[in-house]
Amino acid sequence: MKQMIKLGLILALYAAASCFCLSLVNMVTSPVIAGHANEALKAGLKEVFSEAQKFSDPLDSTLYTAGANAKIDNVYQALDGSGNVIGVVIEFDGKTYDHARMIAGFRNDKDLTITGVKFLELSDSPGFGQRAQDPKEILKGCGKTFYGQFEGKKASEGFVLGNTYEAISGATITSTSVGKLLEQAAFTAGEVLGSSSIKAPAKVRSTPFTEAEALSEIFGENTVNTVAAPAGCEKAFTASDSSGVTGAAVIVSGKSFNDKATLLIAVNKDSIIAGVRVLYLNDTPGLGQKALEESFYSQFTGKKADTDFTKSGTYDAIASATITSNSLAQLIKTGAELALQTVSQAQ
Amino acid sequence: MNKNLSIFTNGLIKENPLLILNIGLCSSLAVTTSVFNGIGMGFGMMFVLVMSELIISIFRKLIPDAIRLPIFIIVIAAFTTIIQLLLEAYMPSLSKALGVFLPLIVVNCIIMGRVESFASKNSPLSSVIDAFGMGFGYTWVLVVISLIRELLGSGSFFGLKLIPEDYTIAFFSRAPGGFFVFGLLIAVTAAIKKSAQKKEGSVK
Repeated sequence: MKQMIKLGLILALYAAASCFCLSLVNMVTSPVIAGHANEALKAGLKEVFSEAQKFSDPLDSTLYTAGANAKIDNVYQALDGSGNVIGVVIEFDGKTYDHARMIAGFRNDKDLTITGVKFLELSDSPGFGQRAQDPKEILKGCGKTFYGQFEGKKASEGFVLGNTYEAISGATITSTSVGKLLEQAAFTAGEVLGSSSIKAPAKVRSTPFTEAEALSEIFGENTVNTVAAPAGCEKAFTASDSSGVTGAAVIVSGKSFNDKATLLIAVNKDSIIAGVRVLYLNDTPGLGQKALEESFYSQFTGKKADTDFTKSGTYDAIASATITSNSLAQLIKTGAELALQTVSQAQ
Repeated sequence: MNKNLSIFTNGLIKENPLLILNIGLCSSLAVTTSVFNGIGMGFGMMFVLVMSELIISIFRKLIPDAIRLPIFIIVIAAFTTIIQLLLEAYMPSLSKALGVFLPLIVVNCIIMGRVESFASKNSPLSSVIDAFGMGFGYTWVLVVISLIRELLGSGSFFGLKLIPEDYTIAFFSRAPGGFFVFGLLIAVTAAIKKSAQKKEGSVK
């Protein structure tokens, strides 16, 4: 016993001596290492806001509200040679298909013009979402990289996929969610710069809608009336304003992967899908359940209502959730047909 | 002097850790994709080996036999962390290139092997010379492997592009290529050893 204690103490002595030497080395090297990390960050900041001469230290987090859809990590003021604030760079992270951490620069003008966007980390799927940060991936529409396309855009115009910015083909969820993250960053930039041109982004939801929520989100101010449901759907509605019927919606159910799925599909009178919302879904979390996320269902808005969604290429399915995607596509096709019927009957 | 010289050359050729003793192989295969990495790893490992053999040789009479292995590990781990911190601060590009294999120096069998079989039984001077011999022996084999793999796999030598990318053989930059080149070197070593033995046999 005594021998064991003696050995234990000797071991402890060696350990203590090692730790002491290590801490000496650490004291000398840690400021140098921190300096490197700082330089890398400064280089990144200059990349997204090249006009700035220098950047402030991170601002006190009490100066802006916590993000709803993205976590605001740091806010740096971009300063010119005389120390005036010419813009801000927001460092933020949040959910994309998996996760992303980015920096975005916003100029201090009335539209909060974007000076640059850069990914610091992106863990989405290689070959799909990962292309968002690929400098070699040039988008067909605008001829720029995905992250490069935002330079010069006005943050006040919002981030609407397919409208104010271009998606990566085959990576709708990543493309939509990056827009949501940028929306949050733009709002924070507006807060810090004292601009009111950006309104607070609504929290991105990933839970089922109620009938009332879905109808009010899609049809907004229009009056909604319940009408006789055509065969094949559970309920039908028409939406109208002072000029007459503007659109219709139906609720349809069908079999999905685990259980049934219930969707609300709305079309407008020009035979364009006004919106799709999930009212009930009980498939695999992380796979089929991703259909609850706005980045999935929002892709149908604006598509022609007579599109045969059972054909491949008409929409972006959820990767590795083929059965759920196919079931929902079938339901949306059926629902859109019935909604078109309802609209034409009402007019 | 002669004794010390023979200790030094022992590590270089006769008891080369990689080719003859066949220890410390994992890191040698992983970091030899470029000559810069090979040299960097060689010197990093040599630093830990020299310092560990020195300290353990100095304290060899004060290390109780029953707990010698934990103490060896404490010393080796401490020096591995020290070289890690020094590289991260003063040579960050090398530290990034070596990546996880820098902290893995602590489990490099060469260091544990030499500390146990040599440093714990010999004088500090002999131990340091042995460490340098083993370290250079490890480094020169690493450089030869990296030369071949970098030239054939990436078409460059120490960063200088020599062969256009279309003619490079990616196989050599991957793990199987590492094994392949290493196997060739062992075969060459075995052939040299055999002919040396034959010569000795015929002289006798």
